[in-house]
Amino acid sequence: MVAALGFAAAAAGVAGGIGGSVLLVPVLVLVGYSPTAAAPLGLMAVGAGSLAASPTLLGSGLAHRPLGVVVESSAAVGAAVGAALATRVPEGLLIVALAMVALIAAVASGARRGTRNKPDPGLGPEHVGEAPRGLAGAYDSGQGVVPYRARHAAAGLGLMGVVGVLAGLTGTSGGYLKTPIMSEVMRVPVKVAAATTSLIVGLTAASALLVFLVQGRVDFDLAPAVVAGSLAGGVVGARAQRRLPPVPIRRLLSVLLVAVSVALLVREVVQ
Amino acid sequence: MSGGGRLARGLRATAWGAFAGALAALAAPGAAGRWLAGVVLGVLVGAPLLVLGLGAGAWAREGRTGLAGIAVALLVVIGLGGVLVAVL
Repeated sequence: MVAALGFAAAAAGVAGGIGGSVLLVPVLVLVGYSPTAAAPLGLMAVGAGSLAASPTLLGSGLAHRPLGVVVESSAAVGAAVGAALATRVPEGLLIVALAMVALIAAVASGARRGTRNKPDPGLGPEHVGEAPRGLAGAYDSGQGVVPYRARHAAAGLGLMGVVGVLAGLTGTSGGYLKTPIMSEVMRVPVKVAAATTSLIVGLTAASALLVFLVQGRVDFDLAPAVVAGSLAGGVVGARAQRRLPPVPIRRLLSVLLVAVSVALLVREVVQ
Repeated sequence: MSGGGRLARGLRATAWGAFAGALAALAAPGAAGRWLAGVVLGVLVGAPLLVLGLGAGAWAREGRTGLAGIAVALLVVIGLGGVLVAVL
């Protein structure tokens, strides 16, 4: 069963660019696992999904590594601050706040009509990928090659720092907030934002799993099933993300964010 | 990005290796299965860190020293997290 749950969480997490642990962990808690045991399993699903999706996301020129590194550096500093403050803030309050933020992000993603970035007829397949300088690039939308450039970097990175604090406080990857911030604040196309998040949450999961391994909190009997299922899910999710046009991806993200907020509230009630 | 295709191929091979390792861990009894699971988890932790390290090296060679510095700083923050938990 955990393999199937890992498959579903990784497939949805990669396709929507939200990581997936925030979907998997509440479900595991609902079916009887303790939150302490469920958290590392959720991060395994995120890490495995990201690893399986990475070849497709990098090979198609969708994921932007420099953007991911810059975004993650801000979030990592925030996560360190959040982890240090973790014992001083009531967790219940944070979970409810996270659910509300996810809901706001869902509305922001779902309410916007059309696409912001349009194909440039002067660009061809050779232009797809990261630009040699800056947080810019181009991706193949299916209707043509679309150029983009990350904007409002200061606001975006500031918000990523806040997401990092929230992630550190609550023990989540924060992936479900990184994609909407990149898309709606930094004006990066949602497909690029989702692919970049799917790539960098592997890093988030690795750093957290390292801590869990050192703490001895990893269940080595359940891990292989979760990892195998999530690796398969990551491949499926990446293929879906590459093939779907931007508007359905944004709609999917919106639906997943609503599911995330419900899952967070359910987790809070169950605990 | 230069080397992106090679990196994608390397990651695909790593993912297949992790998948085979996870299936072997499921099939292997007792301690052998748990040892294999530990190896698979080591791959999950190590692969993204290696990708970040390779990116830092490539960006430094391309003269994008600011980006390379951010990547190295990120690696240090992640490494320090693990070390601090182990020590404390």
